[in-house]
Amino acid sequence: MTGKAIVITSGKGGVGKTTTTANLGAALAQKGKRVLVIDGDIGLRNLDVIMGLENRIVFNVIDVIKGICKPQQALIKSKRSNNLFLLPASQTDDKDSVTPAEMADLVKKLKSEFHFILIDSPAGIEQGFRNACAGADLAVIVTTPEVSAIRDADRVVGLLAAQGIEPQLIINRVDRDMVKRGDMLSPQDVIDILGIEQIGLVLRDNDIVVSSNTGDPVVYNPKSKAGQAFLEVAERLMGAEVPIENPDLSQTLWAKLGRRLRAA
Amino acid sequence: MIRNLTARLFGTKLSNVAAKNRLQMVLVQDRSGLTSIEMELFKKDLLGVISKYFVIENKSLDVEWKRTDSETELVINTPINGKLRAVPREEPVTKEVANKNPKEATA
Repeated sequence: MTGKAIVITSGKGGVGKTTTTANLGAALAQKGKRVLVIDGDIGLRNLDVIMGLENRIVFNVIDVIKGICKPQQALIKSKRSNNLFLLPASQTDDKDSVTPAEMADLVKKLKSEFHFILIDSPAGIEQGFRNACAGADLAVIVTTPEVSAIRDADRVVGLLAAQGIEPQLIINRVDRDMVKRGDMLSPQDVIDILGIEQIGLVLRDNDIVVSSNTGDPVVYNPKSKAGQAFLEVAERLMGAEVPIENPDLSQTLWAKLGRRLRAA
Repeated sequence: MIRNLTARLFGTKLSNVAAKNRLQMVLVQDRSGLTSIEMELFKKDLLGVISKYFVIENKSLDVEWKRTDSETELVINTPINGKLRAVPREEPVTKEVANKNPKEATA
């Protein structure tokens, strides 16, 4: 098999890259795909704790690249699925201890064993970002509907374009009510500004916080809206056409009247 | 709830509109690599070129760096009065006219 390597990136930190990586990995595995998630944030690893696998780490991605162990020795199987594996980052090295060429080489080798390889990029646009993108065929950009996150996402869109990758967008932490009131940029606004295709909408969901507390991705919680949203993104990554229900400014009579009064 | 209603009645601007406008301004700078001062100079020069040929109503330009599928487009928008000014003719123009004349004569 020749899998697809997808980098999950954002520019800005704290917008939900690691959560997205863990959940998309879990969702794709649940749908029967063989999935590897790679923590690209060398020196600041977190994908292991979000997936609840922090106590099982023996080797890491640097050990594999430096030839200290075989890739199979470093892969950690998920507690929840036999199809899902984590290749953790090193916590003691820094981002310059790997080159983009080495990462690209590793990802290329591993692609023969997985349907999907998801690479969790660190924040920023420096070496760590370049390493994470090096072996990727596709990119998913995660942003929140805030000016700072969107501005940084736009930089990343430009950098990926230079590499010949056209990214798809997940808009995370959207609050339906705030969008309806006009207090938050609508998903359509964000798409218009960035000019790239949307692949997901994830509503603000307290279950995400709970799931990170316990190390159990929200896709395993059938009541979680965010979990369902990640499952839908996974289906789209697998080629299914699943419509996205973006909230927009409220169209009720009262909301219209309110806006007209404000505009006057 | 009541505060929200009064804000609506007394004309507070929607913050999402502010966000979109501010982002669009910042992204023009980010995408073009020009500072706001350089952007003003660029607009001033563009206005000079355009008003050499056309009558522009209010001397303002809307400059946008639009991203499409594969490339970034520079979009310049300005209302033009429609009147074409007499263009100052220079060497290349007269040459072209001179070349055209014999052809027309033979046809």
